[in-house]
Amino acid sequence: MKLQVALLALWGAVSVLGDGQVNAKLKNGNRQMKSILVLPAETTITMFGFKGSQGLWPENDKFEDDLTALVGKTLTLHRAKISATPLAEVSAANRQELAEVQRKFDSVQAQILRSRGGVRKGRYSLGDSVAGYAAASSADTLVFIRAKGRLPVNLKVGAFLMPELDGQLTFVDARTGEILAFLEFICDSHNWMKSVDQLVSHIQESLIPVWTSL
Amino acid sequence: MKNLSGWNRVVFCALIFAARSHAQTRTGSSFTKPELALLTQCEALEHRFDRRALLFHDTMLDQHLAGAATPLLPDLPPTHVHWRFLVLRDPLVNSFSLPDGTVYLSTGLLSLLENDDQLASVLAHEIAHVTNGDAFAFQREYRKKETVRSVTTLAAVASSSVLGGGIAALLAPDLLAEAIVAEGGRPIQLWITSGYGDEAEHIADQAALGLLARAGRDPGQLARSLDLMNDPLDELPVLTFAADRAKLRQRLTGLQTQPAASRAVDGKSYFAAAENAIRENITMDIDSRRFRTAVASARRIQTAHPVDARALYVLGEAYRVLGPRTAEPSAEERSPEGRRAAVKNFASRTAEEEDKILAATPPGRAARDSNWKKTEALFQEAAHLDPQLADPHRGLGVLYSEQNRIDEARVQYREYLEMSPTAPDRLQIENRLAALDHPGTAH
Repeated sequence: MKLQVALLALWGAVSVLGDGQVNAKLKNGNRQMKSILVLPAETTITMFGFKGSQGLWPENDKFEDDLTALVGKTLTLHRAKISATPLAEVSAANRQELAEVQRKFDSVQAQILRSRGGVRKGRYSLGDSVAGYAAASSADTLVFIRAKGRLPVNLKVGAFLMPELDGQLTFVDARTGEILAFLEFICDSHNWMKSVDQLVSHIQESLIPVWTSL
Repeated sequence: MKNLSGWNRVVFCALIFAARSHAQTRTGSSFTKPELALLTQCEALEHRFDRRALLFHDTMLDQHLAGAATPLLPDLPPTHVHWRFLVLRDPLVNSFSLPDGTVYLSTGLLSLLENDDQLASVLAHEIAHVTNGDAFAFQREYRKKETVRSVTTLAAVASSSVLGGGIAALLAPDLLAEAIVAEGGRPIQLWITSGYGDEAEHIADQAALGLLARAGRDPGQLARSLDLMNDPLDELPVLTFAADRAKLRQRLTGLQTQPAASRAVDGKSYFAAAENAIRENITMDIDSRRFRTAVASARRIQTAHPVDARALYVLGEAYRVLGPRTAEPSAEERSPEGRRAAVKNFASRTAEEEDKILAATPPGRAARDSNWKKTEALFQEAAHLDPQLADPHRGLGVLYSEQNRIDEARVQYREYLEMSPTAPDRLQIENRLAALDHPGTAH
């Protein structure tokens, strides 16, 4: 009985965490996202097995570029004007500027992950210095993509150890830096590594809370 | 070993180091498959850093690092080792080496060090890790431990077959933790952030002392550099090896028998080489809420260039963001409780919330007013010294806006835009001006 109650509580907690967090401004319809710049995704993919985990850097690079393009393509379906440049196509000169924006986001994301509810209250912001990011000058919204994936070395072992990918899409006001929405998607199979297109339905589902704002 | 003291101990450890170095001179075919895979991963890591623009390139600094490291290197590099010394754009104080001979130093560490002998002590420590083959030993140990752990976990999962896959994972917190490993996988993440283990670190320190003495450097500067790491101006919730006080204390204890920093080492040549990295790190310190560290670095630059308008501007900006804090932490803030509270506040409050809470206290208000005065004076002096420099006007605009001196803020912002019509932050300043003209709109 105790175990059932604990599992139920855990399920409830996971459900709440899995919900997208949307800023009241967006929810009330006071803010629309018409021109979106999707920043290159930053992902961490590791391969794990009986003898621990190891990195998959070349695969990670490709996955990041594919995921960036996929999120851009998915958002385009919602009629917003989208610009999504995979990191491989960003010039070396612009990468440093991009790295600064990404670093700023990472420091704020750490706090969002600690208390997601603050997004609804408009508690988090990257600061208006994001308006100085040249590549975003014509955009009204920035999208940051983060994902962590685990792949089993051996698929039979993987059946026990849950290969999965969990990612986040964060919508940020390109003028003020305010976090507009923090959406999460989870894929609990390893198919995403074969083709990133396997994630389409998961990403679309995560976008439901902001559909009306696109 | 316990009966040895002082330089005898150094010589003893240097002999061990030499013996271990010799043991590492292996042929390519004697490397195991996982070791070769690890070497491949090291190459990929540099590509990864480069892709994300995390490598800091500065010809003068690169040459200086190579020059400081060369006298510390063994005559023959171990197999698969090609010595390289690279700088990472990272405000955290950290250094690490990869088994292929690549040594990384963060800009945060370079900002902390005072002179070439301290730089050499960090390099010597990392060189000793590479020569000792600590990464390979760490990897072997890790794989052994993980095998045991995985078998135990799998047994637990199998014994509870009534539970679904998702629930099974909850029984294995260690495996769930794998989801947050860094990109290189757990072993690389562990040694980069936590070091190689007490024994390996101790041996590397002792070997570093021998290398420093051989290169004519002051071995006492190794302990001095650890002291600097042990007393940071700002706390962060990220615990790296160089920020872990327990480990630093342990390393310092291991160095207690050594003479203290024996002579004042001139830091001018070091500062000249590292200045660009220190300047760049100030922005990163501010972004990562290390405001006191930013002020300390900006002061250092301004001291070296007392009539440089840009240096004055950077110092003024550092004081502005310091806001309701003092430039040095109080005794209370330096206490273990104070440091714990700072870490907790960092994680639970946004920068704006923290500023607001601090500014609501009398000491916070006093500190903010004092910092505002310094900021204004520094910006004005910078504008006076170099009338062509637009940044001080931008800074004054931000400062006056914070102080609710709206008309003065407008004047300064407009002057900035006139002086710098193609500024990358033009849109940001125009937004701020619009917000001043129409209070209540987004700012």
